[in-house]
Amino acid sequence: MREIDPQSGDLKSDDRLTEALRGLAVSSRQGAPAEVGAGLATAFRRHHARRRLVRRISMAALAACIALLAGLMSLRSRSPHQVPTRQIVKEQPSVIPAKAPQDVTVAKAAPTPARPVKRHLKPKAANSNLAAASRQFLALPGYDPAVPADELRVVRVQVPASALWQMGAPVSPDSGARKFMADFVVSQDGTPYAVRLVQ
Amino acid sequence: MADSPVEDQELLRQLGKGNETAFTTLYERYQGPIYRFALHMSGNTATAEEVTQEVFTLLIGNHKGYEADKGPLGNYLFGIARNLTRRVMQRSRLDLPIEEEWLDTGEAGFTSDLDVLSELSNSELLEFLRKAVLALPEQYREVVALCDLEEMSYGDAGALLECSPGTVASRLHRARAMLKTKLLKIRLSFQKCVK
Repeated sequence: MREIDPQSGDLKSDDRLTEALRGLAVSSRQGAPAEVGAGLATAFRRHHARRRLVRRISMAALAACIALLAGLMSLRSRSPHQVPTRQIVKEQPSVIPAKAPQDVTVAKAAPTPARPVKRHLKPKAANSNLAAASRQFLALPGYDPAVPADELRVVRVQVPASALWQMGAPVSPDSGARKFMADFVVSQDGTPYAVRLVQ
Repeated sequence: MADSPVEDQELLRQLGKGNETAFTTLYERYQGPIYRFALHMSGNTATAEEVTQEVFTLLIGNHKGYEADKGPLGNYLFGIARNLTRRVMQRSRLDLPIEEEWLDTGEAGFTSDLDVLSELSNSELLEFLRKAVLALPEQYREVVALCDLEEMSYGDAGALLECSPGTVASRLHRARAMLKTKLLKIRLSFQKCVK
């Protein structure tokens, strides 16, 4: 090996090394092969295609949820009007009785006011009194639904509690001799069909 | 390498929207330095390709992983490349640890006598140098790859390596001393082989 001045040799060698490193940098000025870039471009397209698909599906699902919610809300907003209608429909059979015999009787007795005189009410008055009457009259065991309504009349009488109880009227048998004012629906032959307590 | 960070951010935003041109622009901008960094670190083209592919695949899958306030996009990508290269090298045992004797740079006889380089052909010199760089310990190889081969500033390299610019300069100085020693050893063994 040659003898050289250490300091100047060091500087010289530094320069040479720097130069050599620069040469190495230049010689390796290469990038990744084209296949890597192509593969990445494909991966990019695939990734975003999948993302778009997922986004579309989630948007569709969201729209379906919103539609479902809107449907449910509109159903709820309608339901408050429907419930009373149903209630009315359910109540109607109790007003115009088809099943219970006492109600049928009441319907026939409805035209009669609470007076011991036979009266024929006008149809409008009959309709208006029907509900009130149906709530008050009670059918008695002798009721015959075949009897036409125009053959009935209402008679107001004072009756002992015991007699009313025997007829099936809603009075306590303990009331004894106490007398009650009551309206009776009677047929032409005097058979009592229904009773209503006035007092 | 360092383009306007604003432009990088805009490209990244477009990339997130699925703009392929934005992706291609970013790829063309950074693939070369990242590939070379991985190549200089590993000495293996397959590893360099794998790292480059992985870096950009991560960018495609999670472009929001980059936080602009933490530094330029280039540093972020280099950081990923650095970690991936380490991992791949550990996995494939490609890391060539430098021999202990080479770490001793006090052998003035070798360090001052680099005239021998002038006696080598250009291709021989480059080949020896490449081997010498690969034989450096990782922390020295990193600074040589970044500052000498990719011409990154000490500040950028320090930000990437999470150390101060002064540390980068110090490591680089030591790395060069090691390189000289290594080159002489390679050259001596080469001469022996020729004889």
